[in-house]
Amino acid sequence: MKRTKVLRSIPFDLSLRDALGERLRVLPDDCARYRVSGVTPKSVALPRDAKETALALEAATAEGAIVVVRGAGTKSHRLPPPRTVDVVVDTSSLDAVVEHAAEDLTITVGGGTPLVKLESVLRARGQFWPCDAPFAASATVGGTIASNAHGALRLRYGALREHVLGAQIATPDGALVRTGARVVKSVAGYDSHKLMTGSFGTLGVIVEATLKVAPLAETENIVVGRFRSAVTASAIARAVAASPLFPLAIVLVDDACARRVGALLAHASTGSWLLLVRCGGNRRSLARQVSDLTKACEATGADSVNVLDHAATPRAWSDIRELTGGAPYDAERFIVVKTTSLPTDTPAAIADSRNRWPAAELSAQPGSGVVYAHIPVSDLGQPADPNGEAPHVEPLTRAYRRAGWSATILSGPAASSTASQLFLHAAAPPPYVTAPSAPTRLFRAVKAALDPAGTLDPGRQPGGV
Amino acid sequence: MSAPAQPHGIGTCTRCGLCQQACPTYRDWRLEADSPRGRVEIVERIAAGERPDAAMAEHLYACLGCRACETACPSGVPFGDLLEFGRREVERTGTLAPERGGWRTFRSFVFERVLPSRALFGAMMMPAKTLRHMPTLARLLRSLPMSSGARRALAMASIETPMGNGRLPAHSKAIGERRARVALFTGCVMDALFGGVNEALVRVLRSSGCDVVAPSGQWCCGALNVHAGEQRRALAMARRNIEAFERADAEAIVVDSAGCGAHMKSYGRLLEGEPAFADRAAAFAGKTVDATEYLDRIGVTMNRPPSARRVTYQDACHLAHGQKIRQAPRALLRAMPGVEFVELRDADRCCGAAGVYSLTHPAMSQRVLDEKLAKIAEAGVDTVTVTNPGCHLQLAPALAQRGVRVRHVVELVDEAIHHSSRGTAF
Amino acid sequence: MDVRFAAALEAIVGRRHALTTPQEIRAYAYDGGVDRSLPLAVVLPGSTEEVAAVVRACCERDMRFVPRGAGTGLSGGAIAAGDAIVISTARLCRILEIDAPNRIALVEPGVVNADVSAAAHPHGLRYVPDPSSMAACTIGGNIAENSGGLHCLAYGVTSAHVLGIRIVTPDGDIEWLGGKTVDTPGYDLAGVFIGSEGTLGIATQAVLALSPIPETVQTLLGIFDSTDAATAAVSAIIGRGIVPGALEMMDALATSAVEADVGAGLPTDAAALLLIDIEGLRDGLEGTVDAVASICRERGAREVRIAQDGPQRDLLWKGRKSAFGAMGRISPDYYVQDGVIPRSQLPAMLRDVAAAGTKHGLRIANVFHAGDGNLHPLILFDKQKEGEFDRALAAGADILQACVARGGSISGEHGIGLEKRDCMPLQFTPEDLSFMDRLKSAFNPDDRCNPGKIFPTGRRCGESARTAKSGTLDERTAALAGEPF
Repeated sequence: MKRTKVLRSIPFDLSLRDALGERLRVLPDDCARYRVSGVTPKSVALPRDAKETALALEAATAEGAIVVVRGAGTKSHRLPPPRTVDVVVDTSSLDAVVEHAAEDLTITVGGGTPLVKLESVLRARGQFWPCDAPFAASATVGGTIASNAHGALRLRYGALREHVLGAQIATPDGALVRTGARVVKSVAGYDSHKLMTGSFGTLGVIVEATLKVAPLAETENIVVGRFRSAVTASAIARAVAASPLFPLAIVLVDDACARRVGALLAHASTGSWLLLVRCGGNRRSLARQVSDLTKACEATGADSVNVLDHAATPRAWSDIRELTGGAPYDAERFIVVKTTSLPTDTPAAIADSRNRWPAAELSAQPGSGVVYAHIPVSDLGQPADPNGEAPHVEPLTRAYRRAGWSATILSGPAASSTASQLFLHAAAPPPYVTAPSAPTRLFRAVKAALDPAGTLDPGRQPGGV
Repeated sequence: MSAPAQPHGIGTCTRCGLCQQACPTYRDWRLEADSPRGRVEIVERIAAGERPDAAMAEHLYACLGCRACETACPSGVPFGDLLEFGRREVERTGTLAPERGGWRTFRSFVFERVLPSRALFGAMMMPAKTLRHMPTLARLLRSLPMSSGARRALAMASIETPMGNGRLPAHSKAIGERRARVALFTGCVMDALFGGVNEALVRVLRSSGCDVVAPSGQWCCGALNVHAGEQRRALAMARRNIEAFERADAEAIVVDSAGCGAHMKSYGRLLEGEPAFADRAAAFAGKTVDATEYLDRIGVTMNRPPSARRVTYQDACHLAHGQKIRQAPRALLRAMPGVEFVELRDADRCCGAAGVYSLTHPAMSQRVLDEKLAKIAEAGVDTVTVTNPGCHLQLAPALAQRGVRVRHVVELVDEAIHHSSRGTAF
Repeated sequence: MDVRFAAALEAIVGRRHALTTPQEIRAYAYDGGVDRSLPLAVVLPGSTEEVAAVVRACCERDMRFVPRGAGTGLSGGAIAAGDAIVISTARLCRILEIDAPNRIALVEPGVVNADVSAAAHPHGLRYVPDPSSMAACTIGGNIAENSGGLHCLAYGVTSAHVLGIRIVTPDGDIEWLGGKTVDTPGYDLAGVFIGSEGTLGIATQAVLALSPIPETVQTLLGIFDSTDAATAAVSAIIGRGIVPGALEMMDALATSAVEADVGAGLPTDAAALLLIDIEGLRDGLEGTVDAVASICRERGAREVRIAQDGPQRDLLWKGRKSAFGAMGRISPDYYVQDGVIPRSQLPAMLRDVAAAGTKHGLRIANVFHAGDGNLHPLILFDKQKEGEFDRALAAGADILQACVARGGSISGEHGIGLEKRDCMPLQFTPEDLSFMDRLKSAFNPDDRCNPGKIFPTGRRCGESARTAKSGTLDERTAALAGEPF
């Protein structure tokens, strides 16, 4: 991205201060609390509303400042760290529940609304936002959308982008634009809000979002099957996902991951895998699902099959969902890598991760083809010879490209060298992702069209976009 | 050029496009102008006074006329009527592509001379009948270089069809209690090549309590003429049939050829402009009934297993789409003892015969046929049943090589009632 | 169009598939909507590479182009606005792969929607989006319009069922947006390409997500003597936490046309019918069906019929799916609107629709996705009658205005295209539109790909320059007829 060179005759924050007044923090102590992967921003903006957010962006763009958007900061350990951060825009004040149209299954909230707040408002009307994002205790709606951080419920409810019906976006030039609508279906104009999912705040700031919500199932259970083989467990997951049982979510965890979930402690056993199937419906439907699932697990040699009942399920699931994104892991000690492949490749992706990082704790969505590896930094070993190949393991970038898999580092310690160690060859451009075919030219064009000055966290996207 | 009289149904097409995939030529060529709504567009232009040129003519003639689009159409566009109108205007005022020069000669010979005349038609059918009895000659002819249309005609001419004993009595009495008096429409091709089916139908009707008359003076219904845009002779043929059947004084006119039946049911519209005939034509149309429709309605008692085990049914376009009759033939087949009825995938798609289409557009006809044959193979049957002579002639040569028989539904009904189709005297 | 360009197109796709004579291209002047406009030529490429070559040829000559699928769209999206050639995907019609274990299908854009489910059926899977035109419309068009369908209430619209799209960009490159796996890194360009109405490129392959076929389905037919009672029942069902597979409504006028078409035994004297699919496991389904039936009765249904899986059910849905076309039985022309409103506004909105009909002296039939609040008022008119078409457009504009005023959207699934482009300012500010325009420029900087669509031209909503109204089409046809290409 070509950056405008601005001759700074005044400190860059002055026009921001005009816009935000005291809600621009520049004291080192304040700024230190907003570090992004170890990089301390020069200032922190705390806009009160959408308009101030837009003003802040406009001022930053005019000054050629680099802005990193932040909700609750739960994904602030990204790799590699940003080169420089002039302003962190903190959206946590944008936390209003604007409108809950319960009858219409929609809710409109500020981008900074915490998931806990959203979920409690919805639960009061027997509803939920079926995105199942991790960091549920503190993450915001805007941050969850921007990081496309959805969990295993995607199996039944579909991708996160399908649960965002519309948004108001503050753009780098200070405009406030709306896309989509506040109704469950709209094809008027481009679905720019869908472009916001996974954009990590590099195209605009989500100041308000209208979400599509769903009624809570009448009753829910989790079937817990313990298997010695991830291959067997994955095969059952695929069969169940393609069957009329159509469960809500399927998660597969190794014993180390399982031990991080209180409700699963009793079921975990060294060297084994737990297949967790969340199902819901009315009583008779649920009874049938649980019975069929139990039989399927037993028929394929599960060591044990247990059922978490309706009372135990919400609590257990709130722990399980945290495993889809690395939430329970200390970002200073673990690198979290997300791999996506075809569901039939999930066992191979699990085996590859196990081989590559023997001490990693693994969780997966075997019905959707997603594997999370939580890798202790101490497990990374020596950096490979940049001119040669690692003795035993094919470089990840090459192996994944061949297999058609994608990998993304979700979080890790700031020392960027660990990332290149992880990928053995630093062939993949920052921020260290690999995908079979990324339309990088179009990524660049979209970024150039919507953030021409490169205000919003340049380099954050694959290909250094 | 002045606008011709507006045909029935102009303006009912909304261009929604739901017809496209029902159309054999669109599915194959993927060109809008060869889809039903594309052809409706052409017809509407002609109706608005545009002189049809060679390209427009070709699109109208490339249509099989299967009317599957009518089944798909939610607006009730009478595509068959529009097509007949369009082709009529092409013949009246239009131009044809140079490579289609032979068509007009063929058309004037077949539709203006042969079909209207029982004698000439009979003479034309002689070579076909001869070939049946001289397989060596048939083989010899097949070895000659000739166009694919001619080759197709030869293949059809040399297959075995149930020609019957060659004569139908003018009156046959009901066996047992008399329930109805019906008139039999004997047709042209049915009469010449499928006399056995007509005879079987008479036996079945008699056994089911019907007096059957086969009125003299009746002849070809004229369907092929109107499909080819020929109206003058077609009207004369309709009038002649109406007069012949009025004398018969029957409560129903039973026909065992779906293409004829569909056309006979439209005599009312065909002659609505002629005060002397309008009411009589409507009465004729109202009495016309397909054989399977009639047998299903009156009920037949079938106690004997016919000479077919695993059977499927190929919908005749002019029965399923033209007359909206689908269940009657299936109900008859399902009721036969010892018969396993198998549904054919996409049974209501055209087999490619489409009247003279298989002769005028052999390549397209063959592709449509190939698709049909693949689905018949899928069904794994020993017998394919039909209700139309065109389908029979189209399917039989190809299926004979595969050891699959083609039978008219009525033939099997006859067997299921009388067991032996041969030798039963009238 | 000049001869050399025509020759260049022929060289790419072959003579048979480069249509340049008036007789051939006239059949591409329309789609299922009310607009009419002739392209300069039509090409039907047979591969992704041929599409790319045609697009590059257009770029070299500064020629605009319009992607077209089956041409069943209802907003003029697939017809040329101004001088442009049409690139039809009709020949790209192969199902390349049904990968049942991974629940995906790889298809070309010209594959008919219903054929995907048919191909997946032996594996116990289906492709959920089922627009009413599913027997004819194609996947490429579904992607362009982000088509909805009867069963999108429970399972989401097209974008929820597409994982990846291979496209030819407006400058002739070939790129994959998304892929066979979920969450491909980077911007979700597939998410924004879906629903972009063919303005961001031409899809040449798509990875579709397949879903398990429910074990059993029952269809309820709720018969109501007032539309208010029917809409109240809709709200009550959703309010009870039941999300049926489909939840559709028809008013009396629509019912009479549908009944004339399919003869499903629908009561033509009822004010409103609800068609409700309840899907799921056999176990427990009765309970849900009973709950929905009793809600309908509580809200004043005079009768609730239940159709089991089978021919009766198929007939009911066939009737619903053919509702638009069936208008041909009660009116020479119709103009269908596609506004969306919050479900809770349905009773008030139906009164707005009726008022628009009264005001403009036209009959309006209503068929709609009640569960989604997606209305399809069918404004009946006769274009042969002086001024009726204009009145139909005006009535449509009134209805859209009311939708926006009630907090909704001007289109739920048919798209903006040519038809509603001048209504966009009802829903979006100039800043909103400028943001969309910048997004478009990232893909389509020279506005060469499907120009003139979506974005307003400065006219008033309902007043837009109808190509059909002015007779432009016929004038151009006349001009073309004498002009050898």
